[in-house]
Amino acid sequence: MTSLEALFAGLGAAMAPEVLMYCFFGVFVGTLIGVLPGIGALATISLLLPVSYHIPPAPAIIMLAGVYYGAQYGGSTSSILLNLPGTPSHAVACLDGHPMAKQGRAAVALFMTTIASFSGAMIGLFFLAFFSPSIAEIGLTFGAAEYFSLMLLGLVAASTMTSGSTVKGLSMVVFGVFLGTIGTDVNTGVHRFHFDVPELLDGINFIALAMGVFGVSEVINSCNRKPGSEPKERISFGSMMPTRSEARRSVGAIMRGTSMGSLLGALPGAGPSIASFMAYALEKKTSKHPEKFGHGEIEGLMGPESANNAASQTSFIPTLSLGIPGDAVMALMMTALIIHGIQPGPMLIVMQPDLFWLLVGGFFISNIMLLVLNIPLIGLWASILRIPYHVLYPAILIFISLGVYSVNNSTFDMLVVALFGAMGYLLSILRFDPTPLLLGFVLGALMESNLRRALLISRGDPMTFIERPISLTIMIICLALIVYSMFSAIRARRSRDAAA
Amino acid sequence: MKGCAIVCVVRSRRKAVDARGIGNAEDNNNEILERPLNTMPSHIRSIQCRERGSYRASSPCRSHDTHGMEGLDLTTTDHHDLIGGMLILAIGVFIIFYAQRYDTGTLTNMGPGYFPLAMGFLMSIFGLMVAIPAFFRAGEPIRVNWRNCLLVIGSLVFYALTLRTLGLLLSTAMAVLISSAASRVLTLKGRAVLVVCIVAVTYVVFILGLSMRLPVLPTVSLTGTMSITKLISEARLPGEPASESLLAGRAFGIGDEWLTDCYSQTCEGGK
Repeated sequence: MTSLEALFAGLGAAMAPEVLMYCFFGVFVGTLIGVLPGIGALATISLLLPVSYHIPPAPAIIMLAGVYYGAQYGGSTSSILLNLPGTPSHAVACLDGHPMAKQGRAAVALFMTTIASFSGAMIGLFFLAFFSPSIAEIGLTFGAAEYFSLMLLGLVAASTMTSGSTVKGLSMVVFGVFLGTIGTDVNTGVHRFHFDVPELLDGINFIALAMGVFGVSEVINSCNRKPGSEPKERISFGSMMPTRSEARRSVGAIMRGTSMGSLLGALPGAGPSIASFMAYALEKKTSKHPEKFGHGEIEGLMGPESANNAASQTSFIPTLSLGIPGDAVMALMMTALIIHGIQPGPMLIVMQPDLFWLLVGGFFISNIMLLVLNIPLIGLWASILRIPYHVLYPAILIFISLGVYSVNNSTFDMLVVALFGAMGYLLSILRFDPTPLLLGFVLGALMESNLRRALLISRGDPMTFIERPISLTIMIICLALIVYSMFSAIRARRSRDAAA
Repeated sequence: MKGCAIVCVVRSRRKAVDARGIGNAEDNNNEILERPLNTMPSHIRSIQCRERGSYRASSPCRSHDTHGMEGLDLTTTDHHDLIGGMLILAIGVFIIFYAQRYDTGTLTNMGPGYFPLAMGFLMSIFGLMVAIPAFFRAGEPIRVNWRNCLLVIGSLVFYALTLRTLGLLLSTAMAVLISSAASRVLTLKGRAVLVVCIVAVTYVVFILGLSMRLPVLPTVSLTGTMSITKLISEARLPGEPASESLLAGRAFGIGDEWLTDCYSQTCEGGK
């Protein structure tokens, strides 16, 4: 029962006015950017990273996590009303959410997604609170070889599961790892790949990279989008209630979606987008009327929505308990922790349990706030969709630039943003998904030092990765993932050729 | 027979695009997924196609139908992957050559060059693996929105270069003017209002709110660009190996503790 006591202690600590204030700010901004298509959680979190320097560590992380959660709650709004996903993980919500809105039932859809989001998040949070400590205990026994294999698994999973072809994903990961090696080598002190630019001796600024690749390229891609057509329906509290049969079917869908989401979120490399897609497929498979999907079937909305929220909670498990971020947002979270002098990893939960439980308490409160924010204010969020993007994006660009400038007071970093913005746009033109790149960038340096350490311990014998049982298991999973994804790509091509 | 099959593919692709309403950025108001296509996992894209009962359901690895309708005739090679793969290969080869100047070391005691070199080799291999199959595969022409790209990147570069000299207010206003030119919807009046609003918000948030160390007004007269170089050269202490941007920062009185901080870092780096 100690962990339950600790949880209550954490909740109590999270009730401090300062924490509550930053928490509210985070979830508010998160919902806002989630509702607005064209600004993602990644770009916003990297924008807020410099601001978080001035805040104590726990409130800072709670604020940033609030942005992430808020985006997961808010993202479905524009999917439902405009058929335009607010964030990538809400693309699936368009399929059945928008038909519901067309039938004049937008209020029901919006209300029910909030319920699904909240249920999914709460259960996910439960997993986070009760599994992280035991995973951390296992993590304490890990040596350099295990860590290296785990990071490799994270990178391989990120590139095979996120999107596109495996090889393209892998090449992005490797490119990210390379970009991570730019700067001073921590082991030998040699400057690598600095091209005689003094500003590069400290390496590429992570925030500048993230904002360029995600923020700026997003702006370029959507800057002459027309303003969304206004949601016509007045959304009142009375019109939100689902029918009895819908409520009953939703419960099952939420349970299935949450399990799927919690599992996928905790795995490195997966995350909310994959979770919501898989949950949709699962709902369709288990439904008695799969033909109704796509015409406003409520399970098709509930499953994915609870899945992506559950995944956004459980994705903190590997980050906090092992120090290995599973996706790009978690990579940012880890950077935020490190900036505040907290090294995420098994020692975090063992040595600073108060901090861990404070974070969990803060996450809990964020979700309660989001529930409160979303249900009465659905109408308000829906009306935000009327803001045209062409008013927003110049402001976004200015905020990105100044946000990056404020990190090191360096205009060089602003140029780095421009450079990586152009690169991010190039990648999107060539249909490369840049998410693995960011993960590779963060894990690259860690991976290199663990590889060196592991080989130093084993006196240069690479068999160390195979001789140690945990490491061997992870390596086998890596290999299986690669083989599976190559195989399924070939099979898909065959079936397509047969269809053509 | 083969030609027939390709026509069939084109038709069904077009149908997929029609059904999903992905059109030209300018003239389609049902533009689901116009932005997110680039950020969305292709699994979801393909499920979307499947939902609309169209062809091309089960490919988890390739993402087509991103762009406008008129360019859907297939080219003989998949230029996206061909160019992408070649670029990856080029970067990989560059890394391999550039890494030669660093000590590789042994497996037991790796030098600084070992890991980057390995990454270079991996990238080259992956680049080839992306590019070679793409050469033998049909694809769509690449569409680039040069205008948006140039204006947005241009405004960022302009902002970075002028922020310290023109001051926050003027530089922000001009950067907004440049970037807002990418939108064809804005009227002249709307643009003016937008500039004023953004400059005001920036000032309130970053100067009043976060008390950022930045010149608000122009630090040099606009005609006297010579004085910048003069200021910079005067800021150099005797025998100091500081960089230009560092000195420029000092010349314009930006944060002394930051300067010392930055300076010590540069010096540490130089050792």
